[in-house]
Amino acid sequence: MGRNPLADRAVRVVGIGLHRYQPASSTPFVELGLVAVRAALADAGLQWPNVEAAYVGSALLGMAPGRVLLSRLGATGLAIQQVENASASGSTAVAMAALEVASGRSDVALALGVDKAEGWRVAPSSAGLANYEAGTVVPFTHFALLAQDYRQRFGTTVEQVAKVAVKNHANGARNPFAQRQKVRTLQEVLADPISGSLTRLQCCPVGEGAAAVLVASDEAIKRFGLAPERCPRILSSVTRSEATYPPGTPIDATLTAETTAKAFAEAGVGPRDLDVIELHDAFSIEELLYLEAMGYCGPGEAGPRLEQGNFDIGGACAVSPSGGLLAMGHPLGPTGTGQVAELTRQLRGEAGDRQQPHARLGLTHMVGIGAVCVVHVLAAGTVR
Amino acid sequence: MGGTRESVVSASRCGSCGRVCTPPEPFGCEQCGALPGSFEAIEVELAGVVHSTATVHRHHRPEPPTPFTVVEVVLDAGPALKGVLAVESPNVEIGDRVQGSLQDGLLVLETAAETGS
Repeated sequence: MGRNPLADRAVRVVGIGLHRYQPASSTPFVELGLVAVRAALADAGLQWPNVEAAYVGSALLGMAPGRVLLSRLGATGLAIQQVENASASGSTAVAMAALEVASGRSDVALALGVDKAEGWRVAPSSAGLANYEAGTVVPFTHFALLAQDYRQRFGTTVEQVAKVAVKNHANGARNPFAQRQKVRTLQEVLADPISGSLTRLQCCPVGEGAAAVLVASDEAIKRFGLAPERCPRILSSVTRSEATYPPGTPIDATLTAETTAKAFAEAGVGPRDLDVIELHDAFSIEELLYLEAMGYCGPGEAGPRLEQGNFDIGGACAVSPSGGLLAMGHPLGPTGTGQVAELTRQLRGEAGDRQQPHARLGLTHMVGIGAVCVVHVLAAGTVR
Repeated sequence: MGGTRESVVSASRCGSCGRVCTPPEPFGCEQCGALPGSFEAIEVELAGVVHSTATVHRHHRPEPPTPFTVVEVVLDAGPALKGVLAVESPNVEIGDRVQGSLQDGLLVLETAAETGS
């Protein structure tokens, strides 16, 4: 077992910036990305030449989007790397930027997630592996099957699962960067069936957008005179991939359990210490599965706890105060960096009318096709 | 239909850890990393127990016409597979026994006939 490099050298988020997530448009990805990076620089109080390395996360843009975009801030010659890790591309960009600073190679690094929903090309589909599904099982049906299995095991109702979406749409309505910004009733959420008990508003929209996160060392924070209380520390950054599990095991939840357990151990915290969680709620059922997989509550308890308001903003732990993938949206590359941006806003106490009171500790979680899972644990700027 | 129907399909069994895969694994064992050269070619019956179901209302292709029901089955031989419920089959629930056949490459499942065993 290696050491946690983030325990050896502190890495903090010093700036965040977003381009609103939106349906596919003619806006070039360069424009989307520049809006986010310029906002992050302004938020941090840094200049572009201060940034020594950049990790650009996208899943659909193809080869080499990084330099053509970032050079429009001034071609400083900084290190630029492209990061692709399916839905977790932006999360992995954060992981790489954090490692860049933790290693001491750089003092300031950028993680940018940027994407456009076009040109889908998914390697596992052309891997030379056959199946008997003939294209009948798409992601929403994969999760509809998990939902049916979960509801049968625990007696959870269709309405309890749908209330995940009611909560997250209400949160998204308070987020100016969310693709969906509309409060929805339970009746609205239950309408328009897609697969199994999943309906249109219980499935995330995949559009376009950008989210930028600047990370820095304590030396840089001192040198540039940044405000430490606005700079949450990344306590742990853990990536794992699917192992083999017995037939019928919920793969994404098991992978989540393994990844979060390691992230908690490295951060020296437990699930019940969390004040805010941003998780991979591409489909409503996932929120319940993952809260239990993380150990926030026991098997079958997430639905009743959700109904009691435990996961509302102002509840015991705000889950997806950004609106999550269901409402903020899931433009792939930006999603993981956007989670870290939202968590940073929450831990700074700058989230306005969607602020979780007294937020000191939070977690971000993404799952990507493969499956891979990427988790970060962050603590408010003055905790440690 | 007029296509082929098989209720027994070819599979691979890892010579090292015994993992069974259908369709046969072409590259290497996910469970232990053994080379395909060590795999035994076997046949498995498309019969098992329903693990979950989902009725699909929106589909990106004209075939199969919606609504259709996707069934996840854990085969008696080990692997978990997904296929569709036969149009003429009565509805199935989690825990029910089902049997299947491959129809033009698609796994089609139906309630298992009583066998008395």
